[in-house]
Amino acid sequence: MKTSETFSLSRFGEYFILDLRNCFAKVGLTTLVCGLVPLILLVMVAATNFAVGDPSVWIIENSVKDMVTAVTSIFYFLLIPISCYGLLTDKSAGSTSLMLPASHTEKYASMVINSMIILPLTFAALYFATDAALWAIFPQWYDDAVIVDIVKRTFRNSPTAVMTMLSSFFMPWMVSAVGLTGALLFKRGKGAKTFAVSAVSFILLVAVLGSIDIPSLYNKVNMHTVNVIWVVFQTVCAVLCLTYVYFRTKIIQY
Amino acid sequence: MIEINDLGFSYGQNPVLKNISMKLEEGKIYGLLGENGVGKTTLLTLLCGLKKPQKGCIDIDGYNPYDRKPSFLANQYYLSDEVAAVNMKAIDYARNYGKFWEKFDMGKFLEIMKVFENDPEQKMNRMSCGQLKKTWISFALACNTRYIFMDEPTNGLDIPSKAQFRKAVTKYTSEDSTLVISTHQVRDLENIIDPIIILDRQDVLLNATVEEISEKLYFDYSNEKIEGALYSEMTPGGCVQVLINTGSEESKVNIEALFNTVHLHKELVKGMFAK
Repeated sequence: MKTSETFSLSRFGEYFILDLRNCFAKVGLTTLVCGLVPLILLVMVAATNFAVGDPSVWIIENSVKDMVTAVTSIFYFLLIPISCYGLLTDKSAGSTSLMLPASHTEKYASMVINSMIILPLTFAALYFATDAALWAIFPQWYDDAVIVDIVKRTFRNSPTAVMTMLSSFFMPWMVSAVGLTGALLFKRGKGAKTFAVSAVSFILLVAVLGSIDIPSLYNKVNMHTVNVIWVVFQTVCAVLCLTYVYFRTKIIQY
Repeated sequence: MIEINDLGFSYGQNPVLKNISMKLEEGKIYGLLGENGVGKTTLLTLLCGLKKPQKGCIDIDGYNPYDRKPSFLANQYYLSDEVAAVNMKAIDYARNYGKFWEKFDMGKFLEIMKVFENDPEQKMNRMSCGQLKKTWISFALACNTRYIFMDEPTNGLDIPSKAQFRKAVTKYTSEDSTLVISTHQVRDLENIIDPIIILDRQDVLLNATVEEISEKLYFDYSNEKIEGALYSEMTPGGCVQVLINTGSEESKVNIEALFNTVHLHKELVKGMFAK
């Protein structure tokens, strides 16, 4: 039977499993370490408090946990696609993958699913599970689990709850898509360059938003609209990045 | 069958291949020879689809290589001069990746690894450069593809390994497979490559079988200096001279002497072998 030149489910399955295995071989340990960051944080804070302060009265508050979660997530979502697929621009490793008898669509789909769904979900599951476990075991030292805190805060603001949840949900996708773009856009120093370009773009975005009279804008549009705009912005960014990745991998030459 | 028509490729303002046209037939082991920078690697990467021709076209059994269709990729294997040191045992790599090539033969892979005295249970990123190269050569041959493109396969191999390479290529290449091997080290591949392609800057100087070469050129190994020789070279073991074969005499083709002759008398040789 003649197999499809564009997409064959069985061939995709084989390629996807191989690719997934390679991804975990490359970033499995990083995923584990990032997922255990709440534990590392607790151990560090506890050690510091036991060493220098009153060991009986201290707690890791949600504000600290939120900041650590944000930094860890951005680091993970941005850099993991680079670790997994950055070698595609390298002649020896990249050409081996390119010459593998699978279609471009299959290779692209596998890349997107792994770097934007499987790996982020694995990290998130591990991170939130560790966080929740610490909250359950050490409630005196560890504030509400991040996931509980997000749900609480979101539903306190009920009219915009769903949209706020959605805007948080889209964020990792956008960051992973930017990471994947960096993996294929830069030849060397991929991580540093991607991070630098993202940081500069973010600063520019903040500067543009700063020039707008936000309070008067808030009077005209409600929070729901702001969230919708944020979700649309993230989606457009992710789509643009993924379109670039699609064509870059299709026409890549060595 | 590989058909190259009016192929052109340049790196920026630097043209490498210009108006290259030739046909490569099935079931032969082509030796692609040329000086540094004449475009041997470029030609191989164009043939396997890693590069897009800027001018002209390549047709391999009706496929345009640059389309990189799975059915085309499943029929060819490109072995780069820079091979990747994968963090995996050789046997695991063969097991995991081999299944993408329909005719991949695990038994053959292990046999060739044995010929090379390579341990398939060793991790590829812990192998020496030569061991790694031999693993990739074993994998390439075990894929049983219709076309195999090898770029400098003997680079990094020690002397016994070069003999093992010749043995492996001779013994394990399928009869209908076409191999294109680019090399500087012609002595490593003497006796296995036929036909021979000699590339010059932007041109193909020679594309002929060993039989055709020995019909038209005579390789003299006597110690007497012959007047009118196209090329002569003193070697420690004697002398090799290349002459135009006027009397249909048979002689053993010395590829190194042939290469030098072709470079000394480009137009003459091109004219002699023009089809």
